[in-house]
Amino acid sequence: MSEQKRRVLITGAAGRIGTALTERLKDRYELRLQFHNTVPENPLVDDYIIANIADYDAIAPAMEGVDSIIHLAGQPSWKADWPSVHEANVLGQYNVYESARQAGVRRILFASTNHVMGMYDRDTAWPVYADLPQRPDSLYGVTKAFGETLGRHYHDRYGMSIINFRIGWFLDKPVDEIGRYMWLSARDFTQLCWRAIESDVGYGTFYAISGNSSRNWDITDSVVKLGYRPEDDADKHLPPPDEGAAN
Amino acid sequence: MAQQRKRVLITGAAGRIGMDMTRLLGDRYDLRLQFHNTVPEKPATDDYVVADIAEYDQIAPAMEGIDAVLHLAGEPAVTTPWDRVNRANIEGLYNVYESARQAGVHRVVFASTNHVMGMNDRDEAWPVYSRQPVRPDSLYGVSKAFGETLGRHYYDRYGMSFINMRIGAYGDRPRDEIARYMWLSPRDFAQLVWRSIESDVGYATYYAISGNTSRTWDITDAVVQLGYIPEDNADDHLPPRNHRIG
Repeated sequence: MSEQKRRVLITGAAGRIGTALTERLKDRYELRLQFHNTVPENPLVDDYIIANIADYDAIAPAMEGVDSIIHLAGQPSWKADWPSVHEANVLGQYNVYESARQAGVRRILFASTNHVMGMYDRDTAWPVYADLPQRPDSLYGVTKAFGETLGRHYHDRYGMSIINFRIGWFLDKPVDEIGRYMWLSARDFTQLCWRAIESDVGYGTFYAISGNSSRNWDITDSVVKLGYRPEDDADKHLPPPDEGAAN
Repeated sequence: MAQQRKRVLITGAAGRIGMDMTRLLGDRYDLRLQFHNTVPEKPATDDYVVADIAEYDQIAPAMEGIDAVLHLAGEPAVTTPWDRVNRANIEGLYNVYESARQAGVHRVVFASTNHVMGMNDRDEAWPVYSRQPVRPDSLYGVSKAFGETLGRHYYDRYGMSFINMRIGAYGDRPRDEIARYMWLSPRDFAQLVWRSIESDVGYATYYAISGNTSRTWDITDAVVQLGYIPEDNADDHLPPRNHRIG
């Protein structure tokens, strides 16, 4: 008898990252997808729900029978104003976590952001380790920091497993000097997600970037604790770093 | 010519801490008080506003001409449900900070809470230093951690000064064994507040407790950075500690 596949809910599945993960994880897991308002023309999976995460009663039914959530839904723009980041990333975050808890969901992978630590980058205070104090560069980053802290609480209080991924720049290919250090390829993020879903980690916060030779953010903890073996490196897609532009 | 006194806004001035701070700081600063809905019978000053911090337009006018805000307003109970902690401690706090910023307020002293680290206490993972990662024990604690983080952002981005005070068990006297380690007397909190207002500190987070011999939270940073010299000690008010416990 074949082993039953885990049911994994991907919120924000219509976004760039959600679409890529759906394609790459649909054979490994029983996927359920949440869309905010637009359903893609040919959804890769039949099991989907249309719901606004800011509406508790709309998102709660999505949690039934779910083992793990890849929580991508939210306001993704780091320049977004307070009302929009508050609604999606604070109210919506709470709704997802609380309804997940009530439904017995075991684990949540949270699409956090490098912007939680963005002031270190502004100050070129490198390298940045994931366990340093949060220093968000935007209201967006502040709300994502809230999301991480809510997860810390849900782990400590209810025993849920919460893994925060501070995503760099998710792109097909890096296109500029910023991408050189913060690129995250689709296949590397896919790997991070399935390793996290299969891991024993109770609570962890990791930078999510590819194996970029020019990185400024530490990923040792994801290598050690998740077994992450990045396949990609931004330097392989860009001209050699300018020697004169170092530091 | 006498130096002009600083003008300090106390939000949540009708609460226990607010009333005490009004009394203890009224000679040192020109106070403005914010009350949520009830004005005390004899307000200590004529300069007060009645405003709900969850309504930006109500609280914004209170910021005019203010040097420093002692931000006490919010939902104070650890068991407060989500809707209320969100409204008062997240939305309300944002309104206070953003309106303060727009009005050119220099510094905010924020009534945070030991509950931001409460899981360390649950696990008896002592001592606790304020630089450790947050581990809130409640949605209330999560909302206060948000407040600290927003202050960090406003400091980094706008250069405003934010000092977070993780208050222990505030009261005239320590009443039980828990207060033995977390008591905060009114006069010790008043000292922490005025030392913060007068300091050069840009951004910091401190535990706010009296000089409790039995404390499990570190206050060295407040002593060194603010010059805090606590006058009170819970052990002076309680029977000797039973050494068989713990």
